[in-house]
Formats: sequence, structure tokens, C-alpha cells
Amino acid sequence: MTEKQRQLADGLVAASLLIGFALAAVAGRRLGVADPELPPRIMGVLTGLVIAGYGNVIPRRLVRYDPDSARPARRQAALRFAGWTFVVAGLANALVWAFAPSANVALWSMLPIIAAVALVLLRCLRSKAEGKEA
Amino acid sequence: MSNVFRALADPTRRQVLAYLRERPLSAGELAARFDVSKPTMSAHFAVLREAGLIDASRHGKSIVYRLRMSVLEEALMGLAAAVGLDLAGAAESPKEERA
Repeated sequence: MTEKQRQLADGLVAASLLIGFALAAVAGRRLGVADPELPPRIMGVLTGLVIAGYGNVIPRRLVRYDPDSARPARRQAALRFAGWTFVVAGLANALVWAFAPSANVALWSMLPIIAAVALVLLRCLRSKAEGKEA
Repeated sequence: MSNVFRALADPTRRQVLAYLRERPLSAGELAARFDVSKPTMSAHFAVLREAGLIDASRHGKSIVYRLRMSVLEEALMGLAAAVGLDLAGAAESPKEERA
């Protein structure tokens, strides 16, 4: 199996799990066997894990190597930073959905994601500014 | 995944990955940092490439290696280095680094 095929297969498995759990949760609630609060929490945890999963492979994304610029090192550092940030944010998101009290759980769960996006954007802007100076 | 465990089990290979974490390096630059023969270094590079932890691209006469580790693999490497985890299940003879 090639790298692209593996990525596609991983994406399809993740999507199938999300859709499958969503359908099972709806069915469980209609049948009265599942706590009404449980489905959104399960979906929240799964979404957090998917974000962490995609963050996990961000540093593996490579472009054609250009040794004449200082870019490869900066790009690699930025990708590693983005990967770690989204993994931590995704896990934090999943933990909030799993354990935080019901009130404002959706809002609290978004905070790590918003912080991660802001941090990665800032890091990219800083990296770009350093590139112009070099 | 067993390829990854095997690759991370050796301290020389972990050190190669640590150098590549800073920036991409040519095979010559990497080999110069270790007190081991070129065939031995080539074997280490081959194991790392097979595990998908590094990427090799030819530029002119030299081969440039770049890191290609996921966050999980990097965390595993850090853990292995920190606690001396025997990831391969069988200890391999450690190679001495020059400096």
C-alpha cells in the first residue's frame, strides 16, 4: 500500500468511525438506552482524537528539498511545532469533552483548538518574518 | 510499527534523528559526527529510511536526509532516550559517538 493509499484509508476509517458513532448515538437516544448527554460527549471526544491524529502526521509532510535556501530547517521546525500543538490541543479537546461539567462544555472544548490555531499562525508569521530578514 | 521500534532502539540512530531535528543534513555531514565506518552509517540510514523516519533526496553528488517523524514517533524516541527503553526487545550494541 502506497503512502497516499494509506492516508486515504486512514481518513476513511476516521470518517466511518465518526459517522458510525453518531448514528449509534442517535439510535441509542431514540431507543432510550443512552443518556441524552452521552452522544455529544462521545462525538466531542472522537473529534478531539481526530484532530490529534491529524496533528500527529503534520511533521511528516515534506516538499521538494531546496538546499540553496534557509527554508528547509525553518519549514521543518514550523511543521514540528504545528504537529505538537495540534496533538496537544486535540487531546485537550477530547479530555474536556470526556470530563468537564456539562455547563459550557462546548465552549471550553473550543479553547484549546482556538489557542492552537492562534499559536501556529503566530509561529508561521514569525518564521516568515525571520525568512525575510535572512 | 515494529520497524519503527527497531529503528528507535539504537542510540546511534536516535542521535541521527536528534541531529536531523535541527535541520536537514547530508550523509557526509552526519557521518562526520560519528566515530563509525561509512558502511555502518549507511546501514543505520537504511534502517531509518525503511522505518519511514527519514527521507533521503539526492542533490548533486550528496544525499540529503530529512526528518520524517510523526509526533507519536518523536515522543516515543524521547521516551526511549529518557528511560533507556529497549524498544526492539533485544539490545543492540551501542555505537560510541566521537564528541
